[in-house]
Amino acid sequence: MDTHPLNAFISDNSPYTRFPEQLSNEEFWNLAAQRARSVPTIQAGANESLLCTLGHGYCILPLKMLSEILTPPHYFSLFPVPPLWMPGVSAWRGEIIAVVDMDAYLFFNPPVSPGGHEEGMLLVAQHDDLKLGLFVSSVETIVRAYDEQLIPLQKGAGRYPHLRAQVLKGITQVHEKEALVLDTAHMFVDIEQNMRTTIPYE
Amino acid sequence: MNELIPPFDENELSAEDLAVLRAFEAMDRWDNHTAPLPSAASAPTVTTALPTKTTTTRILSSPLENAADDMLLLFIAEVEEDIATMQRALYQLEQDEHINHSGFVVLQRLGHKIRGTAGAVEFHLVASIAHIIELIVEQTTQGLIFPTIGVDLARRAIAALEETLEGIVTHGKETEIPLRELEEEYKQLGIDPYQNTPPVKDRHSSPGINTKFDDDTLPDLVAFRHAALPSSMSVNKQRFESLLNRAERLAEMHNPLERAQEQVSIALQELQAAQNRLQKLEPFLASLLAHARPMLYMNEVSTSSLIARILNEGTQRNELSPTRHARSRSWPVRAGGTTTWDDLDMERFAEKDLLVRSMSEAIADVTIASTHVRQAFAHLYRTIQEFSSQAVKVREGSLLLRLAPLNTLLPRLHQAITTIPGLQGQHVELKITGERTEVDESYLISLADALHRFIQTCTANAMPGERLTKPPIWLHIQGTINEIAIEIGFAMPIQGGALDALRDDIQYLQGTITLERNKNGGVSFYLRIPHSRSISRYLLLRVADEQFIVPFTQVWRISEVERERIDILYQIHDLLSCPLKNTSPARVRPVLLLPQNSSHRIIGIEVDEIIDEADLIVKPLSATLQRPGITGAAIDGSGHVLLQIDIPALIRQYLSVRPDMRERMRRSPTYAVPYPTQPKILIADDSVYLRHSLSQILQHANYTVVEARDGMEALEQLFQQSPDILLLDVEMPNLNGYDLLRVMVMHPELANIKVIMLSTRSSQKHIQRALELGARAYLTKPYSQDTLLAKIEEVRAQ
Repeated sequence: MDTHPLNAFISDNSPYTRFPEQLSNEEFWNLAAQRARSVPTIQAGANESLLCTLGHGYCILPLKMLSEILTPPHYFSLFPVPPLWMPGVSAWRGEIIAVVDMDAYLFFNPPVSPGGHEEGMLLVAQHDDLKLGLFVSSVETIVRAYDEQLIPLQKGAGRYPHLRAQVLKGITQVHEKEALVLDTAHMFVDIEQNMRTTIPYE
Repeated sequence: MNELIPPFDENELSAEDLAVLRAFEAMDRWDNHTAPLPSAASAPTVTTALPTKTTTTRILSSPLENAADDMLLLFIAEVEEDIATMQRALYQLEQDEHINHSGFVVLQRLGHKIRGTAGAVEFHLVASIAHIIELIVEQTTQGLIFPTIGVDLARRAIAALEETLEGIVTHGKETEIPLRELEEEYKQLGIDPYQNTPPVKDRHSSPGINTKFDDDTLPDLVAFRHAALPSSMSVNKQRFESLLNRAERLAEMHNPLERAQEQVSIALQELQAAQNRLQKLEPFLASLLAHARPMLYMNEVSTSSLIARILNEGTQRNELSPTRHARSRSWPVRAGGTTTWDDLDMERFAEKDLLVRSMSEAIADVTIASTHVRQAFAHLYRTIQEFSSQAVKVREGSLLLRLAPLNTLLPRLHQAITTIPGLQGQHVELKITGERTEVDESYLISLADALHRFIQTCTANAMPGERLTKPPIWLHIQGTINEIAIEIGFAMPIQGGALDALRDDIQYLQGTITLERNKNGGVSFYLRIPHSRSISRYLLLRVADEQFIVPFTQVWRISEVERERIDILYQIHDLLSCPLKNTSPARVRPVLLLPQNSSHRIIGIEVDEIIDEADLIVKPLSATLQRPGITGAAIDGSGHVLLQIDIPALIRQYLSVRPDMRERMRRSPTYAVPYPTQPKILIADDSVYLRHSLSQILQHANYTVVEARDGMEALEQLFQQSPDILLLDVEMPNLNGYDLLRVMVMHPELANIKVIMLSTRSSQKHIQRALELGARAYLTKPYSQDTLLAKIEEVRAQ
């Protein structure tokens, strides 16, 4: 009985635990409705991160700094003379947030063209008071990253000709992929400083 | 005899003689210009004792005449005028039943002016006494000294000042006796003007001064604000009931919405379950088709109770027949992957048939569930649409509730203006058009409050009680569909600091202000404010592929390049650094014309397209996103971010990084005066003496010099003369130095003029404020000639 497929959906104290096959249709739907109403909660562990695909590599972002993962709007409003890696601004829950193209930011690549954002994902992240929309190509899975597994940047960064090293802790191997581990505190400070010091309209 | 006197030829005069002559001419013009100050006839007891032109005559026959110090003559004449004005203000203060604030402001302003001028000419005792007057007035207006005592102390200080000046006239130098006697008198009264004196009881009330004092005598702006902003407001009953109905309908929508959401939830579960059943059948189907391995027990598979029951029965039958059961589990796969029916094993056919039936049943379940999901979503969508529609109606109803006709402003304004001391007994012209225009009532209250404070500040140096033939002030209010336009005109010189007083209000009301000289020779201020603070009307523009919004109040009208004489035309692409997209040449690009200012130049912004106008809620941007000229953002119905453009700020920013554009603006044909090769300096100071002495210094240093006697004149000169440097005094009538800096910020075309502030105010607070408003340097009076010239060169080189 323990291996029955329904067991995964039935709590231990449910009267149906032992005899799911004997559920009447009504009982089945009641059980399904009960399960549907319960909201799954994910507790982000200290080392849990999200593996994200970028245009030219992978990076991992700590889960605890993410507020929401969204399909990006088909259009970001352009900001006058922004940093190269800032495709624009977007509205999130009534707030205006700057959007950072992570591939352009980390690898100094040309940013995705205005029409090309529909393919990716927008991760709303917050550090201190600054909220940002981090644009990535896709999100893969949740991984655990430990500092002791970090490969120093000097050893692994050779294949990246241009890299914003000051916001990286190092490189790690996850799911047979080499992913950049971000120093998010430094990254937010760096992004904020870049946005403030970009001399507009020049 | 007359024939023997050669005709007067100015060319024969020395440069200094000519300068003195011009200074006197300037004083005459100034006297004519500033007529509204109380005349001698209005205060006979004071003016009979005033030293006027007779004193000047006496100076000419005094030892000073031999000294030939024309500058000194100028200084003395100016201080005499100021003392006479202070005595008239004192007379008014003494005559009033209630001491009012405006008389003190006059004393403080003139004390400050004399201190600066005397410091420059190195009459330090005069400067000290003038400083004492400033301090006494400051402590009185702060409530540290009772007003009656303040008046008495000021009278004593003015007498000392007059005596010291008399000593200069008679002996050619200052004498310390008046200052010592004044300090001794103050000491006996227990007053130390150099310290923050604690409140003094009215035990020294002079019997000669017929005044009363109570807590209400000085204007209490804070109390007025509280009184003017009630915690409750009256609303239209019909609108309120309509809003209630809409709110109830909205509340009733809750249950249908919840039910619709529940239906969607159930339908999704149904679909999920159907898909699961279908998926579980897949391996059996694969197994049966391939005959690769025996089928599993069906009773472990089906989640349908019906199927489970059938299969269970089948299993029981199999258990009764172990041979058949074993055979059914061990069928080999035939060569070629094909199988043939074993006629003796009919239960296999039954299982296959059962599987097909299960498949059909599961597919039908999925189809039905999908239909249910679609229906549930459609229902939910309709319900949400209805809910949103009701919510919008409630919002509109709430906004309607707050509206009141513009003419409700009149009684508020009338009541407020009558409390202003300087306007008591005066006819203030109040005109209103578009009075039925509806405006947010809280907005009207704030507006009335702001106008009251503004007029009070402007008239702080007006002498109450004197009836003028013409209205000294007029308010023309016009309500239009988009905004409220107000002209506040003054036929009298106004106290400096008016714009400073209005700054926060304008910001709160999200309005704009411009000013220019009116036909009566005074200053008119033009306010344009939207109807509501929460929602404002904006023009929606297209720039390349982007959309921006511009407040209506920043646009005078919309036109086209071909139709208008536009003095300065900017491209929005340049201002925003947006790449210019190829547009059809046949397409006419609209031009936003900005409200005209004192320069009377027409400034236009060419944009790609004006899409629409919209009422939007604009929120400020976070500190990280703030940019000059981009002041906020709104979110439209589709969730798009619309950045708000502040046009003057955007132009200013553009000019600050484009020196070539600044030069083009300087050489604009509307400038009457050609661009000189010599650097040009504008001196803005209300002291004739200081203007003249500065002018001499600068001309000797090969600068071209122009002068302005007050802030408004300085503004006009800035537009007409386009100087390189502005030497700006702080304390001036009409617009003070800070006001002028604020006005300059509103005019991008003045961005290239470098300002050096000259003031006796030496505190860091004043210096910081001036620098924040755009001044390049700050010199505290008195300063040496070398310091001034060095500072000018330093600022020019920046």
